[in-house]
Amino acid sequence: MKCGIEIHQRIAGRKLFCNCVPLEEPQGEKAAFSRYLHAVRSELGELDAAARLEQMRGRRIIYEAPLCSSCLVEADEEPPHSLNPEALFAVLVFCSLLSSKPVDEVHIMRKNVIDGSNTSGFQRTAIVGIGGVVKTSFGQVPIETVCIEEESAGILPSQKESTAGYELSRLGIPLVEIATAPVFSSGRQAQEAALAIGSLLRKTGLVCRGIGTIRQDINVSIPGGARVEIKGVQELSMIEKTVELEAERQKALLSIIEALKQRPQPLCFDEAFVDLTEIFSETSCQLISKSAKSGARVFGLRLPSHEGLLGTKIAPDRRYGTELADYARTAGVRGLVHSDEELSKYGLSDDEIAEVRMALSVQKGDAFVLVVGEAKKAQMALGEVLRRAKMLSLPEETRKANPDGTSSYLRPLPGRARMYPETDIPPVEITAEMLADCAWAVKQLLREEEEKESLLSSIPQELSKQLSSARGLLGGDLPNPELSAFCSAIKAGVEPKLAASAITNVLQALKREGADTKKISQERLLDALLAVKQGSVAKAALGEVLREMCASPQASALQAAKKLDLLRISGKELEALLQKEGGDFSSLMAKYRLRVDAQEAQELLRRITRK
Amino acid sequence: MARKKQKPCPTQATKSAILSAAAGDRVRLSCDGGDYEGILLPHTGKEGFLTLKLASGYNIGIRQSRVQSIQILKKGEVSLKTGPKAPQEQSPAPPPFISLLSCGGTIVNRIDYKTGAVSPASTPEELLAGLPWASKYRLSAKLLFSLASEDMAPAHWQILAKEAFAQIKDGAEGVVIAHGTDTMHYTSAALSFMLQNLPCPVILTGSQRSSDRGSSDAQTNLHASFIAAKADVSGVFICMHHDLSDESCALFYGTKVRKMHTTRRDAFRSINVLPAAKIQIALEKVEKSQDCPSRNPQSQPRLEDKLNTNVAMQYVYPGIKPQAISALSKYDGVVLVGMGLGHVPVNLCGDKLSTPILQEVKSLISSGVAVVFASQCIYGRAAMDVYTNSRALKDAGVIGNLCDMTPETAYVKLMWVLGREKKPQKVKQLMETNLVGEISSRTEIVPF
Repeated sequence: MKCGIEIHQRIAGRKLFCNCVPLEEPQGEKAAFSRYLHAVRSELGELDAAARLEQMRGRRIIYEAPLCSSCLVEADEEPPHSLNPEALFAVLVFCSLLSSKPVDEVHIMRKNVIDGSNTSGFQRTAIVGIGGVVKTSFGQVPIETVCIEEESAGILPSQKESTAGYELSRLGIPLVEIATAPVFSSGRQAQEAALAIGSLLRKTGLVCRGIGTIRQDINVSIPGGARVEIKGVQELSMIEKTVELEAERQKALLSIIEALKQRPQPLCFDEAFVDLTEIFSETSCQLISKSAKSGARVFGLRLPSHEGLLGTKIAPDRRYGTELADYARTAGVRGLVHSDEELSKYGLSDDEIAEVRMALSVQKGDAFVLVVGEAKKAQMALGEVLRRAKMLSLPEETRKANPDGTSSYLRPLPGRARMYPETDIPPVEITAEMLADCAWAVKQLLREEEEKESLLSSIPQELSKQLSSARGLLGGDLPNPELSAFCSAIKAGVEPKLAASAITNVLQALKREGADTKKISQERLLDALLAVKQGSVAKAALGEVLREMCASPQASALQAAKKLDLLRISGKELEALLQKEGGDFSSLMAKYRLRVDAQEAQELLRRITRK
Repeated sequence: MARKKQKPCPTQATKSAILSAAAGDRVRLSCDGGDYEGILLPHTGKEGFLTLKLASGYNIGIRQSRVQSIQILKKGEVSLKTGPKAPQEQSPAPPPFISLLSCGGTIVNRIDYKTGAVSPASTPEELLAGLPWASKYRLSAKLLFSLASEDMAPAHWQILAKEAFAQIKDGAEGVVIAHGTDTMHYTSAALSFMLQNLPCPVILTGSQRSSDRGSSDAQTNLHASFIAAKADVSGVFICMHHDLSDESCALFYGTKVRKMHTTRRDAFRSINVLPAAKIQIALEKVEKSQDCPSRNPQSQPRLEDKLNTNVAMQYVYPGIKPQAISALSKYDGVVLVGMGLGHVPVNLCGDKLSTPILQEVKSLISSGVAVVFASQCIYGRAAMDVYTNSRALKDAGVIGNLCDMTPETAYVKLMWVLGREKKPQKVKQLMETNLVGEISSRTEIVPF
């Protein structure tokens, strides 16, 4: 097996070609408009197969444009502004970390995508770096290219078959795309490399965080198989399974091809599709009778020598028939019915089936498929099924990752024909100054990294591990604010163990009980830790004080402690208190646990008894 | 992959190798820092770089100084002049006979390797290649110019008018003109005056997104224009997007329309009147407004293409130097694009800081220059009796009171009027009379 991955990670900041700032949940007014997209040729005069297919579908595309996070550029009503230099800088930093060699001039390309996910009909993309490596436990993985790209629009759910809907707040967010060479021999390796690249990107603090901000495309081929690209694996942990299942799928399809080759005349297809609607004029099959009311027709196609093969399992819950159904769906029908299925479950009678077999001249050993839909679409769908069925080798495909690790056919694998230069933006020169700035930033980054490592080594290993993996506890814009807070606390003289446990134990517990710990920034945490260090608050009261600080986002640690009546009692005051309790340590601690430092109380007690 | 060489700089031999490699060749570049293989393209950016198309389809730029050697793997692997070929077949039945004239503009644009930007290249046949609806028409296509519309001059309008006239005389049931959008409203105004008594529609169309991109508005605009060209309308129109959606286009009267946005698809707006029609593309339906004239096959068209091009247009702004106006005396006619209802600085109150131009305007008029007012407001009508300041202008002989022409229409009309009339009184009368729909008798309550 050969496998490579492409990591797509959103870069923080404004959009790539305009000044809109992407918002997670855009509020307020939205503009709406609808478009049709057309396939166009590359500058070499080539027309891309994937684009041709999409044009065939001729879908109407509806757009919703939130006014707060999209402008005329996203609506394709204004040419792109120049390439966002901060995003380019970020990509140069990534190149440097991956030892990828930057090109001398970045040429923005248009990658034709006419499914509507880009209003322009193309995605803007450019190679920034070529080559490079990323370290993994199984050796160095070569990087092929590092690209800068614009994010596509988000899909609007529940559209009709003939329409697609998109929302524009996501469109144009800068992405870095890192493509590894196809060097993985297992899904596990691919997953590890994806993790390594993802962590490397996040470490820079230049990327977005959160669900959907990183996603992986996987390229898989097996000996005798074909290159298949599986798009949009969102869960890192699914990579291994997705790769393994794809290899299985290709193997299963290869054995189907082998089986077909053994059978008589598997390629003797009838080129005409037969209109079978009349057979079903009184059918009890709901699928057909319902659609027929709105004018749908039933078309059939005989698949010679295919009996039994359509039902062959190629992945969990997927058969060869499912693959053909995916092809049919690209023409805009719901799917297909095939003769390896239990046809009575659709409500088809034996008589109807017999008539279909007769009409299609289905012989023993043959199979057939039926498609229901508007006449033109149904025939187009069978055309796609026929095209796929005729292939006696595996086709190169772009597929969509399903949540269970399987994948569904989307379109043919696009080639270079879909690339076209972006004429609205001149090439951007990578100057020596840019590279010098980038080198400085990388040096800085590595130094901070080193410093963090050395600080982490000053606390017990278990705690340090917990700290490194702590996520989403503190507020603020910094990447990994937990680790930064820890480092700055230690620099301010806070005891390392206290600082670490404040984060991994105290804040974690508060979050678990439902407190909004994101209200606590790195600075506010430091304020609380310093209050402990300077003796204004007892260690034991840290949790209470922080909880109050979550609830009152403006309060300082001292104000919170005062409000809770939890200012620490120490020195003379504590001594007086001890005297009052008759020197009973447990009684003191029972009453003043949160206001007293146990160690100090014990020392005082020792002194008193000595007297 | 890096192949270190002794000399870091390109040798004389490398330089000549770069020269011998031509765009379209498959080459391998050995560079300081790595080798690259791909197809050499004409370079579009700064001097000193090579553009290479990699196998993935991506283009990258390589500094020439970094190239140590260049190996031509295959000479002329691709030809860079490939474009789609138009279906040449003619439908046998007599479908509507439409003439398509191409003047250039974004609608026919492709990439220009000289600048890296887009410029006109395709032929009118290429425009219609692959458009399913195009087979419904009998077509006579002609490439007149390949110009960006800013390069169009009055002489081009005359050639265009002659050609459209000839096509109509030859039996065209409608004429569609592909044109750049920037000055399309000048051309539409010019054709409105030059092509009179039309039996059928003459429709200008263009696009705001070039037709080499999937989202181009070219196809929608062309389709709508062809629908309009065979519809029951006559006269000169512009047909462009109605709004941001690809569902409908508007048909604008040639003299009452203006490009009002630099980039949007619906950049063209009807000025002071409702559009002549709305075209629902999917339904191929033309929803005419009440005043839109019908087709009249009996009409005998007239070509009135004479122009006096010795006309200038002068924007008037606060602080304008009087000399700017005196300098216009060499013209036969001047359109003053002035302020509001009909104003230019006249300083009747005698303010010390003001620099009036009333005297200069008066001298122009007395020296025989026809001076016409049009408003920078674009929308609305001149009303030069409301304020004393504008009365002074009107009394001085400035033409245009109560007219609602756009500055561009006024400019074109002045050329046309001066092309056939010299007497100031007659010029004034013609300029202030509606001839081809350029002045509306009433201003409807329409959104602007």
